[in-house]
Formats: sequence, structure tokens, C-alpha cells
Amino acid sequence: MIEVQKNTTNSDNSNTEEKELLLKVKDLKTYFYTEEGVVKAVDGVSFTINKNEILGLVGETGCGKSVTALSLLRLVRSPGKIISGQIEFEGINLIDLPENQMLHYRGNTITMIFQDPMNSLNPVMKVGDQLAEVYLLHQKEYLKEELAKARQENSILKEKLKQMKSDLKNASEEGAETLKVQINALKRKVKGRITLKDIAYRESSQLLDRIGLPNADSLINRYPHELSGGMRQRIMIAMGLACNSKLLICDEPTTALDVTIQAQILDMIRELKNRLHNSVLFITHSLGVIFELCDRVAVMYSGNIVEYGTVEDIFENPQHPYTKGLLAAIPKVTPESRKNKLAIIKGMVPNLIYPPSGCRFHPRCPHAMKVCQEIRPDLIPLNNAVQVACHLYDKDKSDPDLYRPLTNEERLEATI
Amino acid sequence: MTESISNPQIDEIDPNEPVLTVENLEVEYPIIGGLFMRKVGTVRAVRGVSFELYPNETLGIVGESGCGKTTIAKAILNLVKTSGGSIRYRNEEIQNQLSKKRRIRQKIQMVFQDPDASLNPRMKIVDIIGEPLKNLLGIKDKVELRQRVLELMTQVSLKAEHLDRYPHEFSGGQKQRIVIAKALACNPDVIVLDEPTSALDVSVQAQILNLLQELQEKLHLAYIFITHDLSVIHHIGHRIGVMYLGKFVETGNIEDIFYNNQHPYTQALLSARPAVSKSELQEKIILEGEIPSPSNPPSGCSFHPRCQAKMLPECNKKEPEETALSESHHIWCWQFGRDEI
Repeated sequence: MIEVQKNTTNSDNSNTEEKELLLKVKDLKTYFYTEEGVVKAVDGVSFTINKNEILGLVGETGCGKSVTALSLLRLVRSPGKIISGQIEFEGINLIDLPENQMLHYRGNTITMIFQDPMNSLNPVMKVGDQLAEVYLLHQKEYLKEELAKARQENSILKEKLKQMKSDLKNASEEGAETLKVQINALKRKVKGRITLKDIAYRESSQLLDRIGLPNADSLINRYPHELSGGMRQRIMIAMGLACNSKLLICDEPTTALDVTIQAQILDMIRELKNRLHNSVLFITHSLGVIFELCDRVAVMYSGNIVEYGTVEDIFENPQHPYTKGLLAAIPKVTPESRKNKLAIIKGMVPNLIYPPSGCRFHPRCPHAMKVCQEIRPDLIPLNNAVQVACHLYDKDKSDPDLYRPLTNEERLEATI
Repeated sequence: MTESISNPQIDEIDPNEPVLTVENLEVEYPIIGGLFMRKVGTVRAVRGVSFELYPNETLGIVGESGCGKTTIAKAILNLVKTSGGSIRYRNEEIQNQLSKKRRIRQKIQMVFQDPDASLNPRMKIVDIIGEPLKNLLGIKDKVELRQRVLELMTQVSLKAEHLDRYPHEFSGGQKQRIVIAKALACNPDVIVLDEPTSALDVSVQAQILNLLQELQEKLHLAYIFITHDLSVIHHIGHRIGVMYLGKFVETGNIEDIFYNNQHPYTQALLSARPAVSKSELQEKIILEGEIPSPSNPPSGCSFHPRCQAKMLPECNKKEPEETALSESHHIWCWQFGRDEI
């Protein structure tokens, strides 16, 4: 396992502390059997998530980020299928679990927040109903405890009210006035019969309050279309948090939002992680968001992880040509950067039905060698913080025929 | 129909004469409601925006969603009715002049955010790019049309074999190139780019940005570049207007806005941009709340409910006036305009 060096932006633990493993994914393969052929969307992905850590998964459209996340929850729909691999969550392999046990994991221990809140919230249900539903489904035991407490408190109040009413009969004229006021105030507090649903509503509104949404009491009576994009996304995050899950999977939660709202959401996720000590798998295509939020990052390209390590190391000193290309393609905000043209990665993301042989990046890679065309590189540790899948970092480069640059003709062949 | 080709102004570009002048532009949208679907109110989407656009220049308009960026673009192209101010193309009033629409739209073209929505899925690329040539320039000959389309496609690095394909056969970046080629068809002077790279991945975004810069150098185009991504505008822009709720809050060139910004909203917007290296990392100013509804804007300065600068008595009473900090740098904020009252 990789020794974790904490990112400076969100460190609160000491460096020496040994991290506890939460999730271990090994050689995960998810294929889609379409009419045109087999789409190898995720082809041998391995990574780990420790407790109280944010792992970023970054890559371009169609590189298999979301399919990886869906595979973790076994939510891949037909024609997609998990072919092989292991998903060990606290030592239990989720792949082998029967469906009814898997249900227990979804929502309770692993929660997913999807990109588009408008498609994930039910438009004909009030926000409060949807949040209460989560509590009623996943937190019933906790609600029952709270219900018992609330009922007990209520009966105490009822007793008190009864007492006051009997006092009223015997009271003098002056005392009666003040007592009446007190009784009226108490009447408002005393409820008739408290149900489980009332408790679920109360918890929902408290949760909205906790994640910083104003007027939580009125919010739970609104429909999703009455809320702005940022508020909807926060409701989604609230739903994810309602279960106190150990792992929160966020699939591009800020992509549809403005930068100022994005900053609010990222700030919230970071703060919640520090408070609740859960782990987060954060999927995004924005390298900036990864840098700001995550502890470690896995860079995906075309169904594989090409580079994997701490955010600090990878952003300061990227090793894989793809990571280098991606970082160079982002416009920088420095006075000098304007004078130069943006660096680009030539070509396009390959078709996953017919992926390139060997290293899948080699048709676009400026350093492509013969070996890249023939052998698929494995993820090898470069140092104790970074792993990289690239033949440039092979230890044994003695074979001159394999480790020669591609000729122009070979390159042309590769691009076709 | 061919009279527009012989526009005498095409070849003589005076870099000091603005191609487009917008003065005090106002756009209102009606709110329809009630039992009889009457107008019950107005949304003032753009409230008095003025700018000039010169050849060879990129004017960036940045702001959050709902601040009226796209409405400005639509107003320039005569796609919405304006309610005040003036829009002049080379000293010719074009606002709400539908008779001039045909000619003006050759000279001012637009590229939208989502290339999928801009391309008819049932038309071949040659027909899509050829459509403005046929309809606006009146080229009827098929061979000539194909020839012209191919020229346009080479300008945006597409190949001859792409001519007879359909839009679904292309990737997102290629589709955006097709849209750009179509915009170039009538030799425009101004191209309005409405979030042209927001739907694209970074590596493809870099390709499109480089292409846009090359085209500008070659064809002396003027761009209005609407975006919410500040690093993009830093790379491609020359002047920037930061918008908030239908008004500019700060305008200036790159140096003014990025390295000498004064308005609290500009500062918050810049700090919210995610950094990708330690040197760019800065203290975040996290704005509270969200952009208010333009149908019911706050009194006085519309930013004052979210503003983190010290509140002055004027802030919630009067709209701030324009203050020039330097020749290029203008700001609408009471913190600066106070002394002159």
C-alpha cells in the first residue's frame, strides 16, 4: 500500500499515522456487450481508499470513471457486466455477495451522489418527503430510538399541562391570568401523536440546517424545481449524508455549477469529511477540483489507471506523458503564460471497442516506443508515493529493438 | 441577394475604429402569468451595458449563470428584442432592425455552447456548412459549394473525407470545429462565442482555443467570448467585462482584472477558481448565498447582500456609478465612487 503523505490544503492528521484500509479494488473489469462489439469500459483497474481520505478519480469523457463508480455499487446495467476483479470493502468482497446483502451496502455504507441533481431528485415529491424517505429506509432503528425519546418528552409535557389546568381552577384571579398565558404557550409545544414520519422530517430539516442551507424548515416543503442548482446539489449531498455512510462516492457533483457555488460545495465536502471522518471517492474531469480537494489521485485513461499517487507529487511532478499533457493543456493564470500557445494532446480518445494494442495511450504519446505497441504496461511503484503505468520507467531497457522510438510509418499505422 | 458580398468595408480594416459599439443596452423579458396569461412583471436581464469591440480583439464577458451574458449575445444578433440603448455595427444602428437582419447576421456570427444542439443530425456536414453559403451568399453551383465548404473545413483542420458524414460520427471537439467553420462561412467580422469550450474536455479545449487564436490572427476577427471559466479568458482574452445581475461591475484589460482587480465580486470570482499548482493556490473568498433573481434585484448595488467589503450607507440605496481607475480600468462600486459625489 502506498504510504500517504497528507495534502497541505486539508491536513489535520500527522504524517506518521498508519492509515486504515477501507476499500480495495483489484483488477476490476467491466465490459459492455453491445451489438457493435465488446466495449472494455473498465479494463483492469486497481486502487485503494483509506479511512478518512479523499481519493480523486480524474480523466476525460469516456475513460471509465463513472463506470468504475457504478461497479463499486454493482449498479452497472445490462448490457454491462462486471467480468472479473475484487471489490473488498472492509475485508468483504462485494462482487460475491448475493443481491439481498448487497442492498444493505447501497445507501447504508456506500452512498453515491450523481452529477445532475435534476435527474436524481423526484420532481413530483417535496424535498422533505424525499429526505424523510432516506431516513425511513436506511435509518429506521435510529428513528425508533428518537421516536421513543420524543414520545417520552411529549408525555412529560402533557402531564405538566394537566397539572397546570387543575391549578387554574384553584388559582386566584391574578394568578389565573399568568397561568393562562403559560398554558397557551405549552399547548403549542404539546403534540398529539408523534409518528415515525414526524421524526424523519425533523431529522431532515436538522440535516439541511447542518449543511448550511438557510430556512431549512420551509425548504423541506418545496419541490426541486423551486430550488437553484446549487441548492439541489446540496440536497443531494444531504441525502448522501443522511445515512452516515462510510464511503461517499461523488460523481461530478460540481460540474453543472458556477465557480462560486462550486467553491461552496467543495468547502462543505471537505468540512464534512473532517467532521464525520468518512471517506470520499471524488470523480471529476477537472484537475483543479482534484488539486483543491483530494489527498490522493488516480488518473484514468481509456479504462486504465495510468498514474496513481498523492496529489502533491502528481501535480508538482507528473510522470506519465498523459498526465503531463493534461496539466499542460490547462490555461494557467500567470503573466507569462499568455505568451505561449496551449500545449495539446494530439488525436482523440480511442474507441473502446477496438482499443489500441499495448499501451492505450501510445498513438497519442510523444515518446511512443516499439514496446508500447506490443506490451501493456503495468502500474509500477516509482517511489513510495507514486505509481505509474508507462514503459518510459521500465527498469530493464536492454532490448534495443523494443526500446526504440516508433518510426513515422508505425506511428501513422497506430493512429488508424 | 448578392449585394452583400460586395461590402466595401471587408478589406479595409481600421484597427482603431470599433466594429461593434453597444451603448446602454437594456433587455427585458416579460413574466407571463395569472389567469389570462397577461404580463405580470418584467425581468431586467441586461441593465445598461456599454462596450466597444475592435477588430483583432477578444472581449471576454464573465459571470455566473443567470447574470445576462447570453442575453447580450442574443441582443447583438437580433434574437431578442431590446428595450433600450443602441447597438451599432460600424456606425450603423442595427438594434431591432429586422430588415437589416439578413445582412447583419453575415457579419456577426454566433457559436453556441452545445455543438450537438447546433447541428442538424439529419444533414451531412457539407450541407450544414454550405447552408449559409447557399442562403446568404447565393452560391447555387454544387461543385463550387463543395469547394468552398472544403476550404472552410481545412481552415478548422477537418479533412475532405469528413464532407459527407453526419454529425453523430464526430467527437465533441470535431463538432465544435464544424460549428466554427459554419460561422466562418460568410466572412464575418465579429463572432460571438457563447461558452464554446464548456462542454469539452481540457485537452480538446486547448485545441479549440488554439484554433480560435489562429483564426483571429489570420482573419482579423473580433470575438465576444462569453464564459464562466476565468483561466480560459485569461489565455484568449484582451479585455474583460465582469458581469453581475445584468450589469458590468468591473471592466478592464487582462492586467487590470487579473492582477489589479478591485471589485469585491471580481476578487471572489477569481479566488473561487480551482488552482492546479501551488503557486496559484490562494486564500478562498467563499461568497455566501447565490445570485439573486433578476426579477426582483436587491436595492442599490445588486451585489451588496453578498459583498464582503465594508458596507457603506450608499450600498443598499443607490446603484453605483461608473468610476474610471485608469484609462482601461472601470469599476462600478461605491468603495471607489464615493469621493466624487
